[in-house]
Amino acid sequence: MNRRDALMRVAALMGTTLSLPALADTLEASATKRAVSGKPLLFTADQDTMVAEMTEVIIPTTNTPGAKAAKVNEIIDIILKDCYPQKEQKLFLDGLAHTNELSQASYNKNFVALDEKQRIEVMTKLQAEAAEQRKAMANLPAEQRYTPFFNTLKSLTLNGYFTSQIGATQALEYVAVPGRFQGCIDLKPGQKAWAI
Amino acid sequence: MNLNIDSIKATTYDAIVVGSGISGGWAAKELTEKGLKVLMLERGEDIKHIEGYKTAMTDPWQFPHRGRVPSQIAEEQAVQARTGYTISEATGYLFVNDKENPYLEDKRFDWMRGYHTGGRSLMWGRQSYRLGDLDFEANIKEGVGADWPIRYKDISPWYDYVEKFIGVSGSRDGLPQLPDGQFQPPMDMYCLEKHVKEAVAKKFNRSITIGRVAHITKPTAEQTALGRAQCQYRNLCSRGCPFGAYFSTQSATLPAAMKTKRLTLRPHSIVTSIIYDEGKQKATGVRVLDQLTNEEMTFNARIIFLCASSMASTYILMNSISNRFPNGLGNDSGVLGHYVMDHHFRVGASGMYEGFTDKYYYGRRANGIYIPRFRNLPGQEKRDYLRGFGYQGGASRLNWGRGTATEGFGASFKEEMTKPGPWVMNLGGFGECLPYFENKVVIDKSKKDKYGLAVLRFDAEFKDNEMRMRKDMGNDAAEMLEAAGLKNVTINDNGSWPGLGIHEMGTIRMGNDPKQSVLNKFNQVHTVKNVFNTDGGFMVSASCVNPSLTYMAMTARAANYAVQEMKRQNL
Repeated sequence: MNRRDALMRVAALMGTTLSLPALADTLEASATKRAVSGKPLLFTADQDTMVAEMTEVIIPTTNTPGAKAAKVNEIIDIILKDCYPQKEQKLFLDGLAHTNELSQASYNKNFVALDEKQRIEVMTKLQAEAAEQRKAMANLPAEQRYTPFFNTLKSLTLNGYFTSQIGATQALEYVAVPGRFQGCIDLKPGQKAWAI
Repeated sequence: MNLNIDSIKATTYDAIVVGSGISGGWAAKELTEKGLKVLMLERGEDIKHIEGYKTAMTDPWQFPHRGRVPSQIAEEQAVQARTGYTISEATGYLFVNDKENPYLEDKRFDWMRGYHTGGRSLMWGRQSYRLGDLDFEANIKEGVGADWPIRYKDISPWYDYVEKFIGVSGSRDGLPQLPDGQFQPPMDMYCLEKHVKEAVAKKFNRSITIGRVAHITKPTAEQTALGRAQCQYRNLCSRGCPFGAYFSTQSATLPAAMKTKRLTLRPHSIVTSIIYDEGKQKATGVRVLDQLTNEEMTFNARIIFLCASSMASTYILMNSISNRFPNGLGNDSGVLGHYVMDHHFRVGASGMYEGFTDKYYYGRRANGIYIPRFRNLPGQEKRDYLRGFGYQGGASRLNWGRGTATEGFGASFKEEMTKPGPWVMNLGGFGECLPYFENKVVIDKSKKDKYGLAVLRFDAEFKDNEMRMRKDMGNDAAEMLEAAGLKNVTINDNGSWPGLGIHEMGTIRMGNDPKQSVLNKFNQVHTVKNVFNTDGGFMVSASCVNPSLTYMAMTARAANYAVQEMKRQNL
């Protein structure tokens, strides 16, 4: 059986599941709820907008669409709601409030009202604070350490973006069924990293 | 009134196979192909080949949590999640709900289970290595445990037989400690792996080979006829392979058995015990609890193949109490449930390589490299422990994930993250665990599962021999990576607990001496000749290689013997 035959056979046998994977209800519930209501689950509408803008500072639109286009804020909302303990959810929401405090202190405006340069300055401050926090916690026992807000946001943004359809297929290169393996070949000039 | 006779007929088979995993699938295939009418009992739900693999074709962005599981699922599968890799949005549904399937731990024991057709053959690591006489002779030579009742020459033709059927991709290396097999073409190595292989051969005279893995790389006519295609290099194996490219019950043994029209597969059938007839001095069948209706029923057969997985088969034997066998069926020796073994692992080293930045790869290899055992070989200086270990590992280029640990954000950061990162390589040791009588499992009636059945209680640990070996497992890995010029080489020991290797075995061991073993050299219960056990239960020592191929070979061998014995009217 060659590759094309194999693919045809799988497509025939999997039928509709090929385009619409049937995941368990518990997995789909939150995404469905958010899609149907159009409302965030953990975030307020303002927080949702703010997270979208912050992810766009981390992964901006360049020659490929950025985090906002990939709706990374929606993924963060769902993951925080479903997969994070309450304590860590609070840390994240407190981080958003703190970001606005920094923004107010410097510019008398909330983060979403800042221009691009100001947003980068606030994010740079958050990054420096996070580095300080990690340094201060370095010698504490594991149960007293926590992931600073900026690092959680960045990690969720990278994960959300590079596993999105935009991130995987435009910023990176995605091949669902490679069909062959070559372990040691030349990297072509300008070649993007594989998405998975 | 012949109603009773009819109902006995309806539930009477030539053979019953308990379990549908790697061993059960093989037993069903061999017994049906040799003409027997077989009932295969699976305790969980039926998962159909291809259509049952519900996440197999799911793209990363189609997972609502991008692979993470919601807290509720994490809690229900807290034990199954101990591996760190089994419970994801893509694969979690293939592992049991721990709240419904509890067990007790005197010492930490990580029991990873998949209750469905195919069992763990759907999620297994697919690494397929032969044991050799170094393994089969180790116990007797060192005075550890009991002697294996077989040697390599007894199993070698059966390894040939199963390898040809399942399809094992690998390279022939001519090493006495890791016998070659019937291989399909090997998978390629990354540039860095080739480099490390050369450096390690030169500096240490040790071999590095590509993993021998139960994937088809060049299908045979027999494999194509079963609907199997060659590996498509998606590396999404643990979701179930819609191409049937790796060996599983569903892709290979089940369709082969079904083709004979002599197999009945009954899912939702929890076998609770084997029925022993004191007059006939034989087993007559099994008692089953229907998982859906809670109805109790019996099925009868001339022979029974117990392939429920080592610990579940141990449970069934222990729970099969009669006047003749007050301590469990076939357990005159008292060794049933003792000598729990698994491989100890999660120790090794990793490092970064500064070169090959202009080299990349195409496709996702569902395999790694393998470093066969090189310690305590005949003629070598003895280490301060017995036996040895092998390494699994591999190279890769870091992806965007490296961005979480580095400073930066914005356009140039994004641009950097879309390029392949530096090459890294890791080696993880898999070490042999000795058989210890005190490492045991028992049935504890104080706790019941969802079905009202008493649960298993584990009391097993790795001991000094394993701990001493782990020092070499870390140091040797680091030394080899450093010799190949890798930088920032670090030794990692993340701790290892029995069960976590998912190679739990040894609790129904075989042997020539019925006073020290449950099974004879054909996996036949010494004292109940029509009951066979061919899952990990029979193992007398653990070797350091992945065991599933050995279970398959021994199952095929035992099935062949059982049918011969039936023809000779001995069963």
